[in-house]
Amino acid sequence: MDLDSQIESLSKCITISENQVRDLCAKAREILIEESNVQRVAAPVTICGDIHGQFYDLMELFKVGGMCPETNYLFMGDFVDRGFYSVETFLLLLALKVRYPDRITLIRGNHESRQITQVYGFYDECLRKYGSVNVWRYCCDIFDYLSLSAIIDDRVFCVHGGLSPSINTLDQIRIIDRKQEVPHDGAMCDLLWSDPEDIEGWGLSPRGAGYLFGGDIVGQFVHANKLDLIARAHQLVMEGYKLMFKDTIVTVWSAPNYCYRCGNVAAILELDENLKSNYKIFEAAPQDARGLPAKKPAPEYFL
Amino acid sequence: MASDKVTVQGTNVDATVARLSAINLGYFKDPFTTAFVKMRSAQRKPPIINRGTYTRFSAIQKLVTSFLRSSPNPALDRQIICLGAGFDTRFFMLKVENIQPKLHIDIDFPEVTSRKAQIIKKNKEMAGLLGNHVLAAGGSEIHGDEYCLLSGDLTQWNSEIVPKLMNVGFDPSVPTLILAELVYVYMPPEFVQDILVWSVSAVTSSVMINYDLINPHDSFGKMMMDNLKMRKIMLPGLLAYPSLECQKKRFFDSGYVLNATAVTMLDQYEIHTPLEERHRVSKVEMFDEVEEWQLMASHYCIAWACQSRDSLPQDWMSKLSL
Repeated sequence: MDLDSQIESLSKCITISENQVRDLCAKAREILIEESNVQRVAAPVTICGDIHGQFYDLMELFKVGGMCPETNYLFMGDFVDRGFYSVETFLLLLALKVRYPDRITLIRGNHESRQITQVYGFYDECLRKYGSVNVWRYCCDIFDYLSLSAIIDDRVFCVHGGLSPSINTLDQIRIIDRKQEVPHDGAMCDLLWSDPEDIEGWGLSPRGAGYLFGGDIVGQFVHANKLDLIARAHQLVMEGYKLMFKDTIVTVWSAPNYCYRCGNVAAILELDENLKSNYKIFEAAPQDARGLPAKKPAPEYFL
Repeated sequence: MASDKVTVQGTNVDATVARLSAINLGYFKDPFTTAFVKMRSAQRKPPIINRGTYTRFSAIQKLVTSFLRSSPNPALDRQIICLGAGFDTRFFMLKVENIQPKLHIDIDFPEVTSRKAQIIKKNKEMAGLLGNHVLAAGGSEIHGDEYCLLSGDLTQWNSEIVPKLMNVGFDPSVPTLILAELVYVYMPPEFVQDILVWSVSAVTSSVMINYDLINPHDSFGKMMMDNLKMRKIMLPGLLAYPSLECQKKRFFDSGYVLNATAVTMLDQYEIHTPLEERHRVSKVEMFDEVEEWQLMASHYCIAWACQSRDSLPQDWMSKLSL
């Protein structure tokens, strides 16, 4: 089966075989290994936040933002975990990456990790859908090759989580050896785990990894690296996106009705060729667009 | 519209499986719950559910313990009634710690109590903690000197439940804690009112503790109502008492005029849980659901209030705290 028919299949939320996953990951590896830790991307581009296995909502995103390769996409990580279709979601994005390497950029989120996918669902989903953990292994090996960040036209810095007290310049990110499991601390961990917060300087993160960073930190980083904007994901925003610190940093969240429970809308950020921004809001896919639901657990509450 | 009985009984299974998940991970200790979960039903719940289960357990535990410890000998002058008790193991936990009340009464539907009675009797440790007792009502009830398990429908409070309480030796003159954990929310409010009114008029002094859902009108709340409706779970009590203020006002209007308090589970965890305890809990497992936790935990609350015939607070009432 060739790549186009794999994409066609995955676009219908139908998985591909274990061997096809293995081969796809091998090809993806060749492409990703060449990418910089701060991957250069040219505008126009559409920036997306967390997807978390919400496949049918990713289809809504494509409806709103256009299909790849017509639209140039940058996804800021957290493709997997929590939703019901992490396998289909990640493999579709990866297949698009292999097919159109210059039209889609995937960077790593904190959920693209062996440890966290064992807690939050991707591991179990692979085991359930393939009867073995091989697909999970192939995917985790690819996670290690995903870039850590991107820079659009030298002006917009994109990263999953945020900043790190051990990073002042983009060049310091460029020299990280990223081909490893996400560490528990240090620069690479911080980039994937940190959050902006209304504080001064650095603070302890309630997540147990990364840091909280204030407007002064963002100001210094933006100034030192001659940036217009930092775009990041990682935090649920009920309104889909949230600008902070005089519009120097934005959180973009692309999983509507997160976990089928939160009732939030989602957003994508379109940057035109002049880096002018346009936010597009979208809602969760309607029930009838989700096809015949397999036996799925209902979202949990305390009962 | 009220939820049907079978659906409400299903919520007990859900809660018990969640409790075992949190216990097995080390959030809190309870050696008895495992007997109530079939091996194949046991599952590890997501961290957000475990943290919520922990917060609910520890909040209620603190209130119950402060109620009992306010007496030098709770086995003489304290009573507990647990409404919709499900597979709650509180009596056994208290008994092991030797702070059990004079009488602890669990009430639920006969389908639940039959199963519970069976499991307790089959479990050596729990059976050994029962003290003097007999099985009653065809095995759906346990009548003991210290522990009673009663079957019945809470919407038939005055006609069905009250006679049973009196029959097993409930003493209205003894300070009583009435606990309702996610019970009232499933019931049409007028039936809850029956329970409140009865306790104010019949019991000399009591505290009522209510763990409940709140905030149905924001987007998380609306989605919650929709999702639970798909599982046929109706929440008439949520629409009638949608906020902390409403919870307190219901108490007050019914005669529970003393010390009415209501806090969200988010505040219970972030404000009322000591820092070192939060550190311990945050290390139990990886926790990446910060925003979702804040959303979810602000849709649950614990509320309590006291009443006394003399309309003056009794000493023990001031000692209740989170």
